[in-house]
Amino acid sequence: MIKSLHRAALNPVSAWPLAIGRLILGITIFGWSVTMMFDVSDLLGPNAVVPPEGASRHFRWLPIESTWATWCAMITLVVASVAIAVGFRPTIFLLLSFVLLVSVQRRTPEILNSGDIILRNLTLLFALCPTGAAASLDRWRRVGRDEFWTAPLVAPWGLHLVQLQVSMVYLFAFWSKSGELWRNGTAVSTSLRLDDLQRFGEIEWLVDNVAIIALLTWGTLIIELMLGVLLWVKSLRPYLIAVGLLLHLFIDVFLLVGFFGPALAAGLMSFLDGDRVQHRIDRRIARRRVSADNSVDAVVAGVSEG
Amino acid sequence: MSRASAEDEPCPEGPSDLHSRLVNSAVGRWAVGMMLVVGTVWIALPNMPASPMRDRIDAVWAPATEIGLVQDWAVFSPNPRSQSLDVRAEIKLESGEVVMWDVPEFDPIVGAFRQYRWKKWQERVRLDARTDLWGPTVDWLRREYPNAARVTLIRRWIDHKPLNEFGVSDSPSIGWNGFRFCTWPDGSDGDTRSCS
Repeated sequence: MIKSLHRAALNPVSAWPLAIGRLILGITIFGWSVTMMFDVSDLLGPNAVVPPEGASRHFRWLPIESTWATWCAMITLVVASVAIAVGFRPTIFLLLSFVLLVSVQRRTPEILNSGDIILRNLTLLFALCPTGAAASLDRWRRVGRDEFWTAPLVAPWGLHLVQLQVSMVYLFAFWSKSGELWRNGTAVSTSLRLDDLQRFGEIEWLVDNVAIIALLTWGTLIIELMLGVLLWVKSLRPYLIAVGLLLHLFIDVFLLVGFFGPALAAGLMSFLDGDRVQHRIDRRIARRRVSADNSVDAVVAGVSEG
Repeated sequence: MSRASAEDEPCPEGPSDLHSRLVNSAVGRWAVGMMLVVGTVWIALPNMPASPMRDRIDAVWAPATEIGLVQDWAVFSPNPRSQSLDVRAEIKLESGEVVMWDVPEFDPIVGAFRQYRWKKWQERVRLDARTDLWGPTVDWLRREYPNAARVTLIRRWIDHKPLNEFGVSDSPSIGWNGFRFCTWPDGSDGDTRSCS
């Protein structure tokens, strides 16, 4: 058992899942930072609706209190998120982003939801992975254009921590839903009727439909349980990732949940099969080459006929 | 194009990334092993249900919580709440005019990614347990309305009954309930509590 655990922790795997996860995480941090910038004075500055004395008592890494410090942190976060997305020294910028996210978020903890927490958790855990090993500026500079669309094999130990985190989110999201409304299949109706959480207003035909609501309520529980447990079964992963993304899409369309969906989409990518990703990319490149060769042949034929 | 493997790598000395190089030495493997054990404990154990046992060992993951690695995934649980919530302010200006302030509303596409923060704040500021937020809220509103003579914070809510076999029994026509939970300056609005 110890040997197989050892193998699982150290045997190299394709870097594609990490690269795709990094790209989505970078974009999510970018979105988080830019949307936060609009509310710097009202939610984070010295004259915000929650004053600096209301900051979290937990360790804050950097005490961000003045307007100047807040803007510096936000601009640095935006720059770091771009660096993460393009894969320029992503480990350093992921660590920097984690420190800044915690510092900014703990300035006004009253405005946070679970999406903010999972965003910073995944930022730290992705920093423990070689996320710049594929599809990155770092890889381009190292191997050039020809090898860019290939991914090296990398040590998977950090990847497993990301996977564990994602799996725990779903498992305990399921576990905590022990109330009567979840059991009797009506919880989704109540959630969708909460005026302050609606994104596009109430969907009357949906919240009133007993059968669809029961399907959605129990479906949510089943999907969360499956994602919490069965993502570890390799053969089921492609289907579960697709189902997980659909669940988040549904939640994001109807409810104001911030960055919970995008952050977990980045996390779900850690379960991708890197070999399959490489296979698809190879096929696409081969198809493009064939069509480019065909067009060259057509041009040559046209010239010789002329 | 063929699949890349460890042998394909252009660096003959081994993997180019620090994370993979770490497992090439005995010391590195030991360090990785330790990180995996600590990481697993910090990620998994804080999710344990509340119990005396959990209270006894919570010092184990206290460092993780302190640095910002927090675990709390109880969303819409154990049940989704059964009330829609809202906070607004009634502001009487020096001129005698009364204006209502509501939490800012943004567009549902991009603005939704700002909106949730205000809604979260609103969920907390309305609580009797968060009187510490009331004074700063009034101060902020007085900066927004420099000629305010009186500010009253009002919590509003709609009670939602669970869906039953006949469908939803509440309707928008029920409307919002309201309660004036604090007023500035003190004593300017009868029995309403002070915001400070």
